[in-house]
Amino acid sequence: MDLWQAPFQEKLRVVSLEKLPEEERLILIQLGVDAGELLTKVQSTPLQEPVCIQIGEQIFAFRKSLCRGIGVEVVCTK
Amino acid sequence: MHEVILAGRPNSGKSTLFNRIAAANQKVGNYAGCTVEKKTAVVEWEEGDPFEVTDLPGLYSLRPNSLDEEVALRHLEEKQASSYVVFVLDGNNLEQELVLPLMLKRQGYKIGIAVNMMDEVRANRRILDLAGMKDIAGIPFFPVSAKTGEGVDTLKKFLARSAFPAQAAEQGETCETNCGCGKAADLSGEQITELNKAARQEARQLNSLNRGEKENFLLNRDKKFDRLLLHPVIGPVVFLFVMFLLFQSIFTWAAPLSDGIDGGIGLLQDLVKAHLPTGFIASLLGDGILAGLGAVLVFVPQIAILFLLIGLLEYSGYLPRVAAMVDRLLKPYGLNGKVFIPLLSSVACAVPGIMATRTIESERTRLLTIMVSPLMTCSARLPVYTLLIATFVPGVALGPFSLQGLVMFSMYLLGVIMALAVAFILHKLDFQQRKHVLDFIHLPHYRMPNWPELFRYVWRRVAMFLKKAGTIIAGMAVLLWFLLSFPADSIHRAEISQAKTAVAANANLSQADRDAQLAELDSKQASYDLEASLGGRAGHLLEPVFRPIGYDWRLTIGILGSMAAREVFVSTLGTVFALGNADEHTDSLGNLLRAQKNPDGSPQYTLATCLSLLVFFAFSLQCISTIGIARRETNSWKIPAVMFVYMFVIAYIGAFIVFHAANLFLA
Repeated sequence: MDLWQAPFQEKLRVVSLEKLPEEERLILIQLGVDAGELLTKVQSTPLQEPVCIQIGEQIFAFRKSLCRGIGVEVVCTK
Repeated sequence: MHEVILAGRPNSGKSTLFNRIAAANQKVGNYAGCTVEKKTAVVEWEEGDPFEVTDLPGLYSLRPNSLDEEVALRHLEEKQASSYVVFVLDGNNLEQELVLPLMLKRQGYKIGIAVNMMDEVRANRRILDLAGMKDIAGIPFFPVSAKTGEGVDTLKKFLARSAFPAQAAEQGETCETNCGCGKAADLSGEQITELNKAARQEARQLNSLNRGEKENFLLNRDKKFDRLLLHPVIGPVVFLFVMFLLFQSIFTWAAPLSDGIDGGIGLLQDLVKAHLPTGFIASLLGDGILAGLGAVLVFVPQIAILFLLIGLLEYSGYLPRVAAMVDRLLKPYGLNGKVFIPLLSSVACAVPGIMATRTIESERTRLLTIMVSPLMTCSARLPVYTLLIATFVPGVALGPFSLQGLVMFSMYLLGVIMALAVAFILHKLDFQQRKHVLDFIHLPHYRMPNWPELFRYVWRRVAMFLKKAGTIIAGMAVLLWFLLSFPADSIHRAEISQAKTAVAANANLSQADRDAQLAELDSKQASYDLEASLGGRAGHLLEPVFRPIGYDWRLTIGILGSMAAREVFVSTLGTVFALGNADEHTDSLGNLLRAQKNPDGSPQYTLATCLSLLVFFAFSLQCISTIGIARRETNSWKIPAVMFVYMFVIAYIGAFIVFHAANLFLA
């Protein structure tokens, strides 16, 4: 599944960034979004987009198109 | 002199640390060839060498995602051989933030780490093994808190005494044989990926030395606040309330201060007229220089209050949340959430609105925002709208609403619609070809603002406005005064002078009647002077251009006069119609406009003229202050020139359509 489809409040592992253009992928991996890295989809915003993503100990707001390009899997359930 | 570069992610506390290190010695300029701010300072320490410290714009990666990051990387590359880079990291997010400095260490940079926010690290009950990390990484780690000043002196001492001679001993082997040492821009995607992987592994190893609570209490607190402030219902309610406060503050708090400045300038002008003989010098000083100065100073309260409030929202961490909330609304127009505050501010005045675009990282989005900001209905248009609507729109009720009120509201809506439409068109035309690709918003911790830093931020913005834009605005105001004042009328002067002498000598008149008649004659002379001036002659010359949209030479002079500032339209019309100070006699001006007749007896100015003027004023760029600030913020005359032309074209076409449609359907 991709990050947009992933459930909220679950620990997620990044599986792939292949759908994204290389320039976006290079910025993301340096941000901490790389295959094998963990992140959490924290919550949505009032208009459902962007969504808040926790990477390490910081929170970023990602648009739907960006979330669609990040393949993830759920690591563990609460 | 050696250079120390402070680098790090946005919101890592770099600037706060810079202010601590630099104290009062800061200089603010621009990086060469662009509008990105450059902050430097020379720092002296007791027993070491003085060094220059530079506060870089925030940096996330070796692939720039904004003009700021591009400038930061370029500066790092240019200064690699001669500088020492102190990476400022959030002590609670070490594993993520260590990656970039470790990548640069592998590129041969001389690196030190300032582990910032140590007060928050302790609040999270974490224990950092900085000595252990130093041993493994081979680079020094300095615990600091830029907020409290903890550790800053130790860092300064190191930079003054040890950073440059000691770097060879500290760093050891800094360059991997397969790292492809060189400029970041030359690194291929594969090289960056490998570098990132190695640095991330090292960062993980370093962070594993640290102990204490895994939970980040600050982050948990942020999430609680966000559940409220980004709630689907509560979030927008709080947001609208905050925006209402912002808007009201600019109008309510700034207005009396601006009026005070205006009044003060007016007093000075009266003093000049009272103490200097009537003539060129008095006019230059009173109506040129002082008026030009007033045109600049009157914006200071608005700019100061706006940036105080923006600064409060930004430093508290709420502003990025605002940007996130409105982002989706603005996405289809090629804009993002960060443009909301500049556009909202432009409803008060485009000058501070354009200045507020500095918070937008994407240069393309920033330029788009600058180009459409003046389309938002600003407060300067209100006197014009009020005059026209009160004069020509019937004062009838439409249900619970008045027609005049609805027309006024429509003007605000028209500005918003046109701004979004232009942004959409420019976006589709791929204006300023997209170089920077990733739109994301970092949501920093909620924090209490650092008040000294906030006031320093406000002062810098005000000073920048006064120094750079102020000179352009004042200069253009003086130029416009000259064009509307010279040459003076010579044809009617003798006749008016004789009439004034006769009135003054008429013993049958009461003092009040005498004063009124003299004032009327002065107003007539002012009207003849305006018509004879270069600006007035231009009004006659340009009348054929504006005739198709319903304006005669008098309205054309009003348009030309309002190029300085829109609200000047009312007073210029007052002078043209020999009404004296029309700002105090708007009703009379309205009556005069309604009373003007064509030779065949039909009204010269109609509802069609009114609607045409409303649309023209809604869309055209009649504000030298806005042109001046756009020039300052884009570092060229090209963008302001494009803005002037495209807005004039839209205004003219809009006024043409409305004038003829109104004549066809409403006459």
